[in-house]
Amino acid sequence: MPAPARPIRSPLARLARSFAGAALLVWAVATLLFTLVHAAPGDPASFLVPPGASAADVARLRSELGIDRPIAAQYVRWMGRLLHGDLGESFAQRRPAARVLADALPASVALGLGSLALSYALGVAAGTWQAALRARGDRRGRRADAALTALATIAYAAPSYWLGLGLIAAATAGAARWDVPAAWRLPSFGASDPAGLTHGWSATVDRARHAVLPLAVLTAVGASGVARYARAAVGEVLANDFVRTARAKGLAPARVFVAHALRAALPPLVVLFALALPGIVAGSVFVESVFAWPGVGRVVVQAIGARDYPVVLGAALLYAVATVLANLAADLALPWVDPRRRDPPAR
Amino acid sequence: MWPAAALAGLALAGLALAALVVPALAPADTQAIGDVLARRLVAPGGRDALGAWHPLGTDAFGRDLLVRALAAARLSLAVGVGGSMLSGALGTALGATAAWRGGLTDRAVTAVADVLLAVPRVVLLLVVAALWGPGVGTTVVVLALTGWMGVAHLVRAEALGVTRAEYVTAAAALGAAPGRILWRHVVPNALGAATVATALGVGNAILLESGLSFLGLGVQPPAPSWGNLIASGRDLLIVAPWISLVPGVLLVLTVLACTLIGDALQERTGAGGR
Repeated sequence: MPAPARPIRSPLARLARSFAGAALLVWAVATLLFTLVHAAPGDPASFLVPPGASAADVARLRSELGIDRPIAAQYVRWMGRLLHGDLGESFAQRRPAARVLADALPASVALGLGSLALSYALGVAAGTWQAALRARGDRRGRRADAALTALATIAYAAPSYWLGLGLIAAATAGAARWDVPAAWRLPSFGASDPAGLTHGWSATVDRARHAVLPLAVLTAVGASGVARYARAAVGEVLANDFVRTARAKGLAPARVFVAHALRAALPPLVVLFALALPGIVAGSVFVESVFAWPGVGRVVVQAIGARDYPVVLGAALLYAVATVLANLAADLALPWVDPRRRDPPAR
Repeated sequence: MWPAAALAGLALAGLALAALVVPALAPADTQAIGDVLARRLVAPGGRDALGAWHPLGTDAFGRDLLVRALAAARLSLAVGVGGSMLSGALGTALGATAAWRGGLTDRAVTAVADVLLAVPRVVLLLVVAALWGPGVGTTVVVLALTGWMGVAHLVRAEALGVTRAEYVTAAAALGAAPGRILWRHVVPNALGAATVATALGVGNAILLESGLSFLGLGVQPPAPSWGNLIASGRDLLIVAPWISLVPGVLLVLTVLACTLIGDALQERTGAGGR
């Protein structure tokens, strides 16, 4: 992004500007989606009516859906409804699309936040360790670093759905062949046991067990990306003079690492938070459909199969809002972790 | 990094060659289904009931997986490389124009890039596949239209640096036309960064195409793509795991090779972001 043309004085103005920018982006994405739908070939009414419907039926449905009006009127109406959180009615489920998405959201958020936290913890730890190994400079350190890099690069290259299929095979046929005790076998389908209890301790355990495999896949892919990035970021910091100075003045290596190196590597890691979100969204679309996890990703794939446009568009908008919010959060957090990004004091 | 990248390049070239040659030499059409009962689900290295040898086994319809997976490599490589080269070209053109023209053009390009970056790429691909119907053409076009922003950003930054360079001022003073300066000075300087970003995008594009095809929204069977081959083995995961394993391994190795080459290029030129 180019630097803002005029200096912004107060933090409050900065905040307002960030929020206005985010709102503008969401509006633009909504407009883009509206344009895409209306530029697409085909008349939604023609595949919504039952076979053998007359031209009059199609015309009535068109006026019912409001798609016989001028495009500008449709745009205004759609935007007006969006502002009220109304995404239209799901074609396939005959209930508000916002409801359909809201029902699927908790499962996705749980999976997404869980894998984000795990990816960050594992990835930053692995990347930092690798940078430390490399900084040590001896042969064993370099080898261990290379081995971890290879592992992360391979996990980064593997499609999440394929890893998921591998885990499903291992958890079913593999577990049977290797005589894994029943208590240790992990379910590979859905988010809970349909015949189990709905609340209480055993239900919580059941849900946690169902989450293990999808979380493992998302974390493997996410953590490898974070590790690649963290290794580079921390490695760059370790090469700086101030790290050498800190060492030279006799600080304990652990303190040099935490107080100086990690502290300075924080800004790129905060930016990575915003960058990592789309990847987790993408991963979740595939992982949810492989593991039949009842989240937004699976709902989208099903809605596409059913040509359920209100749900597809609503989900796209939801993902866009999440991405914009993540960027906004990273933007606002950056001056907080990186003093260089703070505005000069007002004169 | 460098020997690994050379090895990766060699492996990719070998794969591309095999993808061109093997399906062409294969005894049967890659999509044709022959004697299903005699040939189906032969394990890798086994012989079918008719005596033919299948180094990587056969699928549920008795088609040889080596031939199918290499035929799929044609499509997957073509879509991945084609999609990212198109997006690289688009990004270079838009980034250079934005930097050169400045003002309103610059703002418009940056704004469009910001909007496209606000929607995860997979979601845009899914929406367009849903609206326009899946297919190879749609996939390539959408990969190109959703992948240019990173390249444009880099090229714009490089080009902005070059426009301030003294030799550009000198060229302008000598009376060179703006178009000539853009083409002879600005674009060649930004090309390194654009190439690295494009190379880094190839692996990602191949992954995205395979994912769409896996969900049934990309390349449609019977035309083979790694994604739909993996999907076709999904129901036979326990009985015939090799159906999903073979294309998956090829896919991972290909993306790995692309990543290694991209990383090495980036390290060597010191240019390009993620």
